[in-house]
Amino acid sequence: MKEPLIIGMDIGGTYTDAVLITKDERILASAKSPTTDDIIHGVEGALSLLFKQFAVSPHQISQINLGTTHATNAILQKNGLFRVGVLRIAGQYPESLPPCFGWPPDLVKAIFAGCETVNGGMECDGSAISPFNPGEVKEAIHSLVNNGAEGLAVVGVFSPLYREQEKITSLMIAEMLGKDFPHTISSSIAGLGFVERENATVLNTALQKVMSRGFEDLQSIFNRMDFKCPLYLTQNNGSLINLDKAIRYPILTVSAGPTNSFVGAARLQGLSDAMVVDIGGTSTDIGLIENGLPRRSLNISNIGGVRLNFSMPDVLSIALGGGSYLDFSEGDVRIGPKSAGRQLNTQAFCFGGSHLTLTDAAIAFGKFTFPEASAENVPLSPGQAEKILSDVISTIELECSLMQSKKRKLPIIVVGGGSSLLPAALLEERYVIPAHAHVANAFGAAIAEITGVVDTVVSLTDRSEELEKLKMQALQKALDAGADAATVKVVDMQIFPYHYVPGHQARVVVTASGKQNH
Amino acid sequence: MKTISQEELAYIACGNAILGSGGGGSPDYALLMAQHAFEQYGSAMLADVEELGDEDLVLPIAYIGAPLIFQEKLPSGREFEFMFQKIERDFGKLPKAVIALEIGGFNGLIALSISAKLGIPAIDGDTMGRAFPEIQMTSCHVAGIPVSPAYLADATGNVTRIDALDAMTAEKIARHVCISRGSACAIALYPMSGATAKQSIVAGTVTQSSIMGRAILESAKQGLDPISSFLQSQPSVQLAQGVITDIDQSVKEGFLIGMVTIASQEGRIEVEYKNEYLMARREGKVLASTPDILAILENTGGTPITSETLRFGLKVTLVALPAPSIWTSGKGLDLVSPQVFGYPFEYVPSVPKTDLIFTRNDL
Repeated sequence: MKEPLIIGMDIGGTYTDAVLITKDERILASAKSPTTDDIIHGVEGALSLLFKQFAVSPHQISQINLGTTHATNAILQKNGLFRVGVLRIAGQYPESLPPCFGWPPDLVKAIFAGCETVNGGMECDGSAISPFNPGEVKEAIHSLVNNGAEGLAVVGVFSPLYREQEKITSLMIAEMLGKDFPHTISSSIAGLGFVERENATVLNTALQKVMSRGFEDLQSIFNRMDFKCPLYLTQNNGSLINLDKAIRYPILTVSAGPTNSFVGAARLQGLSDAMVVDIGGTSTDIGLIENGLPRRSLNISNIGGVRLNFSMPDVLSIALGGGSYLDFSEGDVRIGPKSAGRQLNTQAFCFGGSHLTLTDAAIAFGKFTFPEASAENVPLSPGQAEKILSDVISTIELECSLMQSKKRKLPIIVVGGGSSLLPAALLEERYVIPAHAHVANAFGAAIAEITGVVDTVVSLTDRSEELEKLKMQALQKALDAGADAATVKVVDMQIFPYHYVPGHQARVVVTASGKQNH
Repeated sequence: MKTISQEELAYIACGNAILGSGGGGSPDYALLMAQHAFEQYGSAMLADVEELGDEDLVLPIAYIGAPLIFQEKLPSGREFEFMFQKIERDFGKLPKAVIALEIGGFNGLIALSISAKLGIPAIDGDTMGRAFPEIQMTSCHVAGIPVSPAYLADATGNVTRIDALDAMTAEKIARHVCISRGSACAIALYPMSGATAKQSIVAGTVTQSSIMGRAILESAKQGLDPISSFLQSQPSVQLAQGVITDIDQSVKEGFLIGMVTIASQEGRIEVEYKNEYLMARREGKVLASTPDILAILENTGGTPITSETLRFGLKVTLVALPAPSIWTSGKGLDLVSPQVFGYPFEYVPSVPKTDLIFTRNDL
């Protein structure tokens, strides 16, 4: 039998990227094709370019890993979303903060179909806030559906630690409204932090319509192209979930992009500690890789104006990319923040347009070429161009210095569609642009692993014993999700001690990760 | 009396985080709760303490417990309704006004939320002038006002009255009751008359928060330097500017204890904290200490960084505000001096004396 191969794809706002790799992470082919509004044509385009470079039978593909911003776009455009009723299991009646409070008003209008609060919910020590009453839950479900809820979000106090009441409610929903009635229980998708978990649960339910349609479309193209392998989606922490899970929990896929690109960049260069600079068309993302994983953001994450508490990479985004406009109106040149974006190929001087962009500067400097681009029309001297590119490099240098200690001069890996704009001659030694830099994100998706996460509150009185137990649970979860026993290991452990609570209670989050078991 | 607008709430929240001296919990949820209370019940009225009648009952209020618990078990707002029913039975009358027990951090906006919900004014002031970890560290205690009867309530209707002989004992009892109610409770204590309140609160701290918060948020919005706007808005001093290069922390006896290192051009700055930032030194020399208020502001947005949200690599400015005068007297220092927190040195004011006073007319 021939060697199994893996396809990694990243469906970005501007381009859909694809790579074909071997199991030992050698890149056989890579392709970039414009993203289309319906997504599927962009995917088909990228795949057919890929197979033009490297002919292979679809049966030889053992796995397709996909990163996509489809869910984020659906939220931003408020397109095809379910109206969601919220069922709070919260005996303390948290009326001080109703669901969806502080969201963008048009998103609330598109999604929120009312809230019912019922008795139940737990204290952190496992005692009940007030007695859970199935009859009351039943009435609440009826009332929400009668008020127009097309899906339900169920959120219980401390449910990430004590799931029972949410699970019973889920069974009741299935029994009353049919097992396909869209609903999400909060303990399935997020950890502690009631508001953020509730937000994620509501958005997840709202997204189930558009995402199941989108992902089923993707599955049908892959079937048509005769792939027999499983399709995986990359999730926010960079690991893989299978298609079924992605359809049930679309919110888990909303911010996989930067993670894929940072991990991909580090692996392309063979480094486990480095800064990564991903230069796109309108913006540049800067991140830090430690032990092969992106450093996490401590800030509350935010999608479309909604607070969430997902583990997301620490990303510093600056409005600087290949399409950034150059503005000389105030003497010194100003780069960005406005960009030609998808119109770069028609607007830039080097493509015959009448806007001056960063790509024009790179063309004028003379070390960068692009099909159909010409330096002839660009009104910049090589000297001016050099000045602009040096400015860009010092901006990047400055931003990188914000992300890391002065003590360490980490290598800086430059990737993304705009990486080739920076001339090697102007870069310090610690900058590297790896081969295949322009498809680092798709490569990151291709090499993504399966993880198991345990997120719980425990007493750390017997600290080492307790932590060891949690590590074993995380490893088992990764194995259960399909990770390979030979490669799986604990990759991360975070401990958040609780103040003013007896018994050394702390929230502990353990992540184990391993390669897909073929 | 003045009405507080929705817009002003965000300013006050930002100022509350500064007065927290790094502690008191993040005001994020408190801001959302206040915005919602204003939407639902109308805006809160803010009164000067001088507007109180001498016989009026005034009640300092707060939520106490573990900040991380509140993030999961959101307050209801009903805690105070249950508590006030009990207080009415005990006193034969309802409070005429509420006041923040602690202006710094999460609790700064609670009095405004409850004021809007219950339709009674909130007093412009609090009983700490900042954040402190224990309930005897209040201006009321310094003024000799009895802490009892104190009341704790949860959202299901359990109300506990504490009749303690002194504030230190009340602190211990309240801590136990709070833990037995899931480590999150509403509290009211030091019930006092309007006449007493006029003598014993730290006045004007809501307005002070608003002035600071507006300076920072408005200048950040306009792309100006929020740090210099802040320094001009208040008697205050910039101690250092630099990058956070190390955070070393642990939890001992319920307190988040640690040290953050800021690398600045003038040398290495260390800030020690026990929930609140307590002491800053440069290369071994003490720059400022409790009861002065220390704040770490992120440089571009001016966002105050609490001890729970410290982050490696952040570019920040360390500033100090003078301690509320109640804490620099002999009796105040006995409660909150550097020695009380285990330091071997005496308090030296870090902010030069000034006659500058800001009022609501400056808003």
